[in-house]
Amino acid sequence: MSEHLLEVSDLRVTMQRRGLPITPVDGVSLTLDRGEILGIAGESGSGKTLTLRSILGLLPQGGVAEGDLRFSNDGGPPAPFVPTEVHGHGISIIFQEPMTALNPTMRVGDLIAEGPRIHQGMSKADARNKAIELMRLVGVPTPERRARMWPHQLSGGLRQRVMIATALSTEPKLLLCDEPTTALDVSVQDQILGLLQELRVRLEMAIIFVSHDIAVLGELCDRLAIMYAGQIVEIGPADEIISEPKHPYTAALMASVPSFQGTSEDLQGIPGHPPDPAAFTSGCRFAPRCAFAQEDCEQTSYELTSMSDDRATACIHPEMLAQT
Amino acid sequence: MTFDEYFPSPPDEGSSGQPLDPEGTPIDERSIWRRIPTKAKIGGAIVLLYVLVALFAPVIATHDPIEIDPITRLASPTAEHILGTDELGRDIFSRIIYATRVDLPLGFLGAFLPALLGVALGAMAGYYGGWVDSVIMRTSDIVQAFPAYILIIALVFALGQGASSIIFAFTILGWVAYARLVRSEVLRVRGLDYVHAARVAGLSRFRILRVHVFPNVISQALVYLPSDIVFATLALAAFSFLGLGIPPPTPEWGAMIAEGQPFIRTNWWFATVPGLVIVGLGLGMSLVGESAEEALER
Amino acid sequence: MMLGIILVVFLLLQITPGDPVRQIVGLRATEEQLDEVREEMGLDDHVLVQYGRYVALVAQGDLGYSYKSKQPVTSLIKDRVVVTAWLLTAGVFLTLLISIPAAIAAALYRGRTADQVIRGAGLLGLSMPAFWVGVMLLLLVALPTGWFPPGGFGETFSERLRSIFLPALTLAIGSSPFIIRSLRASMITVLNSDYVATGRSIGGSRRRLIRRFVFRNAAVSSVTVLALEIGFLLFGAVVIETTFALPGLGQGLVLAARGRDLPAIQGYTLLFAVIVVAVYLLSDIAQAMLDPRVEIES
Repeated sequence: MSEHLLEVSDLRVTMQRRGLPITPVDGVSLTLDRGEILGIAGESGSGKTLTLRSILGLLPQGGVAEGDLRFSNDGGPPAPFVPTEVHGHGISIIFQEPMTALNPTMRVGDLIAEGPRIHQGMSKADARNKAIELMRLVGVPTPERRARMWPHQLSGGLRQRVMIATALSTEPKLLLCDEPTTALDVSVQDQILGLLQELRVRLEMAIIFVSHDIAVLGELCDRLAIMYAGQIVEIGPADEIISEPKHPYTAALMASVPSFQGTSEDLQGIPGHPPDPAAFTSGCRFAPRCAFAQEDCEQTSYELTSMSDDRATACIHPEMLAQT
Repeated sequence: MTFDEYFPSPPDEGSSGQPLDPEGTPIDERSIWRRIPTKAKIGGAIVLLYVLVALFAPVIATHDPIEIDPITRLASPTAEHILGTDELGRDIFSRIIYATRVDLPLGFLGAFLPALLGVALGAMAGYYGGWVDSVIMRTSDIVQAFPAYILIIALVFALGQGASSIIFAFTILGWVAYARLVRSEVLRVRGLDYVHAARVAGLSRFRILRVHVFPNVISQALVYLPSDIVFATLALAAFSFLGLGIPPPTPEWGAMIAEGQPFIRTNWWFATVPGLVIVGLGLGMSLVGESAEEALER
Repeated sequence: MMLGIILVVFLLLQITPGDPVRQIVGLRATEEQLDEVREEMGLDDHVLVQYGRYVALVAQGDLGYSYKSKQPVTSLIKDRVVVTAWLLTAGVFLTLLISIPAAIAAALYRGRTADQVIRGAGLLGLSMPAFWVGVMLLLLVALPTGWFPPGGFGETFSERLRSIFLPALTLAIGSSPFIIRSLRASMITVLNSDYVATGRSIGGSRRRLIRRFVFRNAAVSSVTVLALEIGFLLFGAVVIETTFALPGLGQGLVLAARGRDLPAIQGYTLLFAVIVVAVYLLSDIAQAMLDPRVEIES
């Protein structure tokens, strides 16, 4: 697998907020291989959700995405694409809140069947059967009956499974996950995570998983990217990042999670607030809150520097961390 | 179809409110005059124009609006009669000018009085609570459920023709929105901690109302008012058109349109111009109202 | 609620100045004759008794007798219902025809030229009095082309279609601005929702997306809005029927008001109120049909 599945270079998203232009995603670059699970971690407002959505061009009205996006849909090298080309054609997405992400005026079976009908030209009956199959695949009990139900009649966990089934209906090579477990209670959360891992193996599907929950990410992901204030501040293999962070923000994040086996916790315990997108600087944006900040930190422009084959950090003084 | 075509990005909504104006001057440093958005200026200018016309009607009009001159009835526009004459020989132009003195104040009244009543009732409901609140709220439910305009017809019939009945009917029916607005605001403020603190510190209830509730309420009510003025004016004109409003010979735009309708083939301007005048006022008011709404969103 | 309406209508009689008996019997009647008639009609009974009697009569479908036109009120009303029904149906149809595409376009191209134009047109439409628009349409369309009769309803189906077109168009012009405004807002909410994002991520044509994901969700709110507008629509019917001389309920009401025919006015008002209630009920049902989350309460 010398070629990546997805290449994102210098992704930038601009929006208007009360007349002011802001850049909540500011120069994000990452790659993804087939069957790999990449996690993107960050607080709310870090830009992680927008990064995900801009891959599929699903920005809110007024958002514009720029940058170089390449995807390998046919097995060859990744090629530039326009979001609508991959809608239902290789990349799918699931959202955080299944109640708002499922069309309230469509029966769930019809929703799941939508993709096959459009892209494979299936008849209504065939597509319905495929939908039932998919529901079974994601673990919905008695799918024949449930397919005729409306979203509001299902529990949160079932809705999320329906959303996954919908995403899978177009046989994607890449599944984007926007905090899909955040709105669920812990036991259901575990089930969904297990389901995703299973699907990755069975369908050879890559996953980008966005979350603010480090514990979940640690459990699920092969590689991990940490985002702060619209930029990736560190990226590399998940277990390395967790055990040996090379950016003060990452270190602070890890330190604020009590354990990786126990219950997941929100990030907490870092004094101060992330900067307002309207006031983003060109230097290190974490410096004001950083315990190890040096004089040149805020002056030096942001740059993600490779430390080794698969590891990069934006911190220009990682040695300060190593000393602790 | 790119996503950009599908969800194109809009220009800044609202013409001002940017921290930097197009010339680069930080907004807070510009004079008050320049901070008002263009829309409001145009709308305000239009409304002002109408007000001025109403005030200076005797100066602007060329003839006495109710002076009958059967000889020159239904004349075409000439130098002497700018818009010709109506079926009784009265100068149309002057009648339109003088009608400003009828439609404008009544339109304003028809919007202000319900607002006043509504604010008062809403404040009472929110403030006293209990059965006062229940009574007021139930009444408002009943009022709202009625087909308003039909009721107005019925009321106007019952109370007799004329401006006062229409205004009365409007007031009886139009207070609800304002009352609800004020009531919810009062209720909201009542629950705030700093209000409790203020009360403990001995601040009078009235002062609390004045300082905390009113500013918010006033600004929201100001958004309703312009469109209510438009509705009131249009309704007044409509009633006069139907023959149920201002009795003749007082000039009124709606009535003039009715008078002009039979002569539409030959004297088309007779019915057309008063309507244009109404539209103009409506546009001006609506522009002001929209700017107020946008300003509130900031 | 129906009782409340009846109450109000009944009260109309009580507060109308002037002696209804005298109006019926004539100005030259003697005091004794008046008393006789009064007793015969039961007008000297206690107010509550009269009210009860009225309610009973209405429940049986008897709306009283119009002395002015010497017919029972119900027969006055009967033939007019058809006309108004035509007008309202055609009007609503045209309104939707105009409003839905306009609202969708305005929402999709939010902030861009199309949106501004549509909203500007809406502003204009709001400021234009319906009767004036009707007269303008007569002037600019009916007269020059001769395709549409300037008044009346006609006998045959095609005649009626032609005579209802301009009035319905006038109604549509007047009510579209409201519908467009709320539809646009709900469309924007829908377009920005997560489920539309899901729909987009599935792929497919824009048309299919709108049909499967947007339409039904936006329709729910437009039904509500339309129902709320019914009061306004009915008043529009009143005005427009008068303008175009359509022998409908609206014209009937106006004539009754002008002629001070009290029982007729009561009858019409009651009927209008009933229509409004019926429309609300219908919209509740439609909502339940469109939105699977809504359950019907009996």
